[in-house]
Amino acid sequence: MGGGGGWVAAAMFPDEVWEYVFSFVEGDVERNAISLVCRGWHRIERRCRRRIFVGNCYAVSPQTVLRRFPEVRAVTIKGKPHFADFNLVPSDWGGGASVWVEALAEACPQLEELRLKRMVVTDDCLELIGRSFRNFKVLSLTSCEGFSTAGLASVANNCRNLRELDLQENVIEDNCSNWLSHFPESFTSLISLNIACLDGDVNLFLLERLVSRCSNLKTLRLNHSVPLDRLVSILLKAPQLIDLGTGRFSADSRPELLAKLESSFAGCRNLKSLSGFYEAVPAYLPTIFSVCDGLSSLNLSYATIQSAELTKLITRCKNLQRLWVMDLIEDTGLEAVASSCKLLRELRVFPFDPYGAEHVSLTERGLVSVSAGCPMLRSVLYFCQQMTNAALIMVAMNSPNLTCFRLCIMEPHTPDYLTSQPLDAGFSAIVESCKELRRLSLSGHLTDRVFKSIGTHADQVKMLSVAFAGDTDAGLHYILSGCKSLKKLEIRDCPFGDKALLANAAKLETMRSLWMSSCYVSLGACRLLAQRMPRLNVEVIDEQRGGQLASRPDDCRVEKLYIYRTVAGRRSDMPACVWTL
Amino acid sequence: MGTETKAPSSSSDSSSSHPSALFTTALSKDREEDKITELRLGLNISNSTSLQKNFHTAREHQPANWPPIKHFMSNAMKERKKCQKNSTFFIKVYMEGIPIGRKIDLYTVDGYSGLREKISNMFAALILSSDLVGIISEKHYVLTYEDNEGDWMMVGDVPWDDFLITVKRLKVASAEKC
Repeated sequence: MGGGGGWVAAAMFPDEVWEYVFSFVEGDVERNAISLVCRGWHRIERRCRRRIFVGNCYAVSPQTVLRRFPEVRAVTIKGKPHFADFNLVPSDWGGGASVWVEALAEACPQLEELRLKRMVVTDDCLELIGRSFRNFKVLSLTSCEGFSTAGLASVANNCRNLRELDLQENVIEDNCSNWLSHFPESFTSLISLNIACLDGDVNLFLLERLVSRCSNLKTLRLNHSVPLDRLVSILLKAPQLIDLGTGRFSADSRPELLAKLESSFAGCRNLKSLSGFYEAVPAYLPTIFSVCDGLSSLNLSYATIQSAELTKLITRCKNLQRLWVMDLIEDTGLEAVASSCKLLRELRVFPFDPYGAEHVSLTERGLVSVSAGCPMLRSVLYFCQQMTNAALIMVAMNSPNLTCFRLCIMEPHTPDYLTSQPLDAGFSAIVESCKELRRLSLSGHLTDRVFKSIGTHADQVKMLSVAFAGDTDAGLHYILSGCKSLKKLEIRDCPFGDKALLANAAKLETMRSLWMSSCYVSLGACRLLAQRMPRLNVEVIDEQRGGQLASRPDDCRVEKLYIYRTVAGRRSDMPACVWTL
Repeated sequence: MGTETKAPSSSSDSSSSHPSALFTTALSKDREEDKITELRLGLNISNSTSLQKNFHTAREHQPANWPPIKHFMSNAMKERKKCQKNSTFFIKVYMEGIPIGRKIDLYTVDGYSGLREKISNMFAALILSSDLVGIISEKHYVLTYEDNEGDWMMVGDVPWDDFLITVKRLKVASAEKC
């Protein structure tokens, strides 16, 4: 806009011009920045914002959101804290979707897209979605619970323009086995269908009918109940698929099935992503060799296959960018990955047997190999039994572009197994070297020193997970007084307490949330924090003791604590084990 | 495929009512005041140092919900464990007064209630659950088991998974003798 004169001219543009200009700005942060420029932009921007993201369903009321953004088309909402994934949050904690769905149904009939994560979604919610939004296109539920296939049936029945039904890792009751039959015969709009998390049998006849009439289907992820021979016929009906999640990848030995499967995979020339592989047996893996070259994503995290067979498969996938695999791949397999998959950006290695009865030869060496061999590496999730500072320093040097580094050494408090030193030096090297790191999970024996380093260097880290680490309150103080971009902090079993929490109270208002469980926070500190920071909800969770919180003394230790900023005030849907102070 | 690709982790709440800039001026002042109030209230901070020394040793055993593995994957692991063991697990069941035992596959029953139901049908006897013993008549039976140390215990006294590890054989005994 240049000088002052240009500014005046720009200010006289009609709203439509600005709306058009703003339509090229998609990021939430950038849109927020636009709305802060002046009243006029705030007014124009709010009326043309089509997508909103609510990182915590209790941070703002749906009415407030919809009053400000009346023209919204796509909404993403997250509910429970991340630690709910690992069973640390009581099942009745909250995160109900109904208040949001009801408000949307009333104020926003034009809604096209709804994505919910870690929320309780009832069948009534799903029915309301089906009835309320005329042009509804995308329903994505991730780690949600509370609904059944009967609810899905009402979505199928009512959402005539549905393009995407994405069910990721939800707990779904199976009480309507033929829910797929509720998609009308005339329904052909589906582009993406993910039913991998369904527990029960899928009606294969209905599934095949649906697949064959939705000719634009690009993503299809089946559940474990779909047998291999039916996969053959599904692939023949949908050779245009880009993203396939197989069902059960084993069958009684039948040579003719091998050949059929191989030719049906060979017909799917567009495949870029493969997942599923439930109960996979090595004999059937060669059937996908013909598509390996085109794959950018391969999820083998449910395939219990030994290293040699895994390696034969993965080394054929020269263009792989994302690999999820079990630790059965071992160090030797990861070495092969490092020399074959030069475009790899994301690696996740999950434990086959986390409690360590089986001996799997996966160590720090596998991680070092991949970091050395894959220059594009950005994201790592790695479960292992042992680690060294030297290895972490190598990773830091090899992969300075990491944006996500999550290391889980399975035994808590495990030191560098060669030197018996804490892993402070290793993790410090990671945060010092990887300037773009946005997500970090720590494990192993760590002292306060590592937190000093993290506080100083991890300027871009938005989410930090800490478990079984630190010596004193100083650790938490370093994190909260440093880490400029921190939005989410989750801590369990660390000796962190009141002093650091209270000294950094103002920092909490700049963050989305803080979770602390089995730490040293006293009830008195929580009360004080709540009193001093009215825009924070300070929620104490106690499943053990029950009774009245008011009668407990200040020095009583808090078992679980969840603090989040909010403009909506206290929530009213808490179960008996949750108190807002 | 990943959850991260679907949910932009970098984006902040779309409600922009929390521009952090608004808070920076208040920040340093708040900190000072916090420290003062904290001292005034005499919160139990100094004592925590001694607790901290014991922190590591106190939690040496396998902690709950660790390592952090999502529900779906850990379920798949449990399923695999079951399959890895022998796919059948036969033990003998004896009925009081009947010299010959019968076999039952514990992997085919789903928990204690399933077990009671199956054995009730096997011997046409009414078997009480362990918490009901006390309101008994001579026609009722209870289920007992011999554990790996040779002790006879009431079925139902430990979690089902632990029971599967320790049980050697089962006996249906008349309730009044217990």
